[in-house]
Amino acid sequence: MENPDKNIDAWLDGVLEKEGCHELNGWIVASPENAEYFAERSHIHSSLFDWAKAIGSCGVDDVVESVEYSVASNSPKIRGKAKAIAAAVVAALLAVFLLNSDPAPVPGNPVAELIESSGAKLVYHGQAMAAEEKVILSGNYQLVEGIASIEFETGVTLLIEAPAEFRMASSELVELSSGRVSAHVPPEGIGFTIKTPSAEVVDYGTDFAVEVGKDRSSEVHVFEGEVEVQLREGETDPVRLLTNDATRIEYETDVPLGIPVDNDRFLRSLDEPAMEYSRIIREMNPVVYFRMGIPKEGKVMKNLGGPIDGQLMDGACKRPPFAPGRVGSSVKFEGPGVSPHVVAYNYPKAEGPISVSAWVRAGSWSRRGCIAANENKNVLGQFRLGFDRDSGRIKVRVRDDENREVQLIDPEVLPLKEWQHIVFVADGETLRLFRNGQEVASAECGLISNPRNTSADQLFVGAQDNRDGKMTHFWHGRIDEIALFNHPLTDADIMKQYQSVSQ
Amino acid sequence: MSDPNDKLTQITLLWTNAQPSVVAFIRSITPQLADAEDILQETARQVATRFDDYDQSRPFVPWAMGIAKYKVLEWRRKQARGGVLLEEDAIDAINFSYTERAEDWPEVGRAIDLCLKKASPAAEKLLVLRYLENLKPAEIARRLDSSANSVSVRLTRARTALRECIRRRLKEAEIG
Repeated sequence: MENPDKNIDAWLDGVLEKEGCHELNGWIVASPENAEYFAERSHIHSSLFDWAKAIGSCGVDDVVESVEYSVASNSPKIRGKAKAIAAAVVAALLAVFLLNSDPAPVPGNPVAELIESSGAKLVYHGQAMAAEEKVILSGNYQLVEGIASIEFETGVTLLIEAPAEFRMASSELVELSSGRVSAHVPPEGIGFTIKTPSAEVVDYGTDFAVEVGKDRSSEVHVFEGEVEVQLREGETDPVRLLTNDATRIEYETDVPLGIPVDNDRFLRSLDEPAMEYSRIIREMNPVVYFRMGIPKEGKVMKNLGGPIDGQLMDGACKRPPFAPGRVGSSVKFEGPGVSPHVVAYNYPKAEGPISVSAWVRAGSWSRRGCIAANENKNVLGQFRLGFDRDSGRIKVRVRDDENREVQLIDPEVLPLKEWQHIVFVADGETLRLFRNGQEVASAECGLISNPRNTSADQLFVGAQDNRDGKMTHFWHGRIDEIALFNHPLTDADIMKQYQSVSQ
Repeated sequence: MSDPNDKLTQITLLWTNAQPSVVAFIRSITPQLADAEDILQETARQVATRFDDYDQSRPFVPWAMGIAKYKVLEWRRKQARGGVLLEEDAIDAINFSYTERAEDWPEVGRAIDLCLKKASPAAEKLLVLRYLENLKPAEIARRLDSSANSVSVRLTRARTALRECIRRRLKEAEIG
């Protein structure tokens, strides 16, 4: 028997089906230890009836009320939130009273708190929520933009990506109609459930993610721990998923299809982890260092190497342009057409040597897909790093102090959908290109100086501008941890960067 | 001839001591509370009427448990064919385990009381709905706007936490 506790408890609660009972019977008689275990657990069950009878002498309503009161007052976490929650309920009631309009939501019960967001725009029962509103009441929500991180009393946290529609039924149940949600469930939150149109995902203490597609099919991916996926109808046996398991349930057929777990699709945290890699980069004194994580202040891409921050331009993106990165999250670029990109104006340009390092993961060999460039209206400034036209090979072009353009091309095609560490270094004598810690090309090259034929002030990441000043040559894939140094990185520096996340 | 009052006192004392084990055994075989109450009453009646057969040189609990098993099997035979019931061999094994551990149960009962005082408010609320209001997981789920599966998982977790706490307390008592 896979899970004796579950079967025993289902029996004691009077909800065990015949097949389960048969299984339980066999398990009990299989060994005296099993029978003793059953006796011990059922004795607890019986004692709980006696305990309930004893406390019930003060009246059922009183007991439930007192328990509810203690939920609200005894938990330190809740105690801290009590004022905010009370204020939210009063505010919602006032809104209903003052506006007296049909769309005003009926205030639900406080079930969770919005603890972090990146440009999240939440709509509650058809009305936009104020940005400063942190209390999540039970009811219907749409996340129309951004990413929202929500925490429940039990410590369960959800990271929801726009666009998504969901109902906060209670602190234990969320009904996801569409969208993508990842969940972290600590032991206190075991039993937390996400219901989708085609399944019910019950958690047993784990990290998992659920996505509901437009066709109402559901995918469940378990990164760590265990979940049970109860199918809507048809198949009666639930699917048990353990670490690195995933399943897809089509709405029409209601039959689970085992699929490989996708560690690269779901965002799991809004925070960039303080990892060794970040420390190493900062010790190398970059002038620009974008971790490419999810910005918490609007569209600002924080520069950890200096004062000039970048701007994330993602106006036309349907969903937040982020995905799991090599270290934490990364910016996800959609390729030709409409794609996000990052621009930093008036960043400190090199006056001598230069180095650029980045982790990239190409989704396709997009024509002239740009990783990073200092250009102005398609005229080379100090450098351009990206694909060589349609060849799928990485090319770097720089302009040296004699106004010569020097370029290198990696002799090998960049593998798709694999993280690759790309670095180029111009030290005044040589331009060198590295991939995954190894030099792949080199050529003579002077120092880098401010170009005489262009006023290229911007640093572009993920795209570059064309002759008309419009963005073009979008990267298709992900870029993470991009850093620019106004000094030459050594072979040891490059290897250190590469190995710190490769091992 | 023994004084009937003494006999009544004796039965009362012995039964009071045995009753938690007997009722726990019956509840473990018949999850429907009403059935369990009926079997318990039948058992108590039989214990009283057959008390003269009880060999007082032997422990009382196993004797009472034997009667309870007989009553449970009698009830089982009356149930509709095809119902969801434990088989006789499993009932035998459970009865044996309850009887074997008869001396431990009072200690376990005391530990349960102490452990319940440490249950989280959320777990306590769930246990109140399950055991005081005698609701099934599906009904609890409706009350809490949750799902039956979720309630079952949380009940299992609450019982497991209780069991771990009991084991810890019993171990501490052993050492102390």
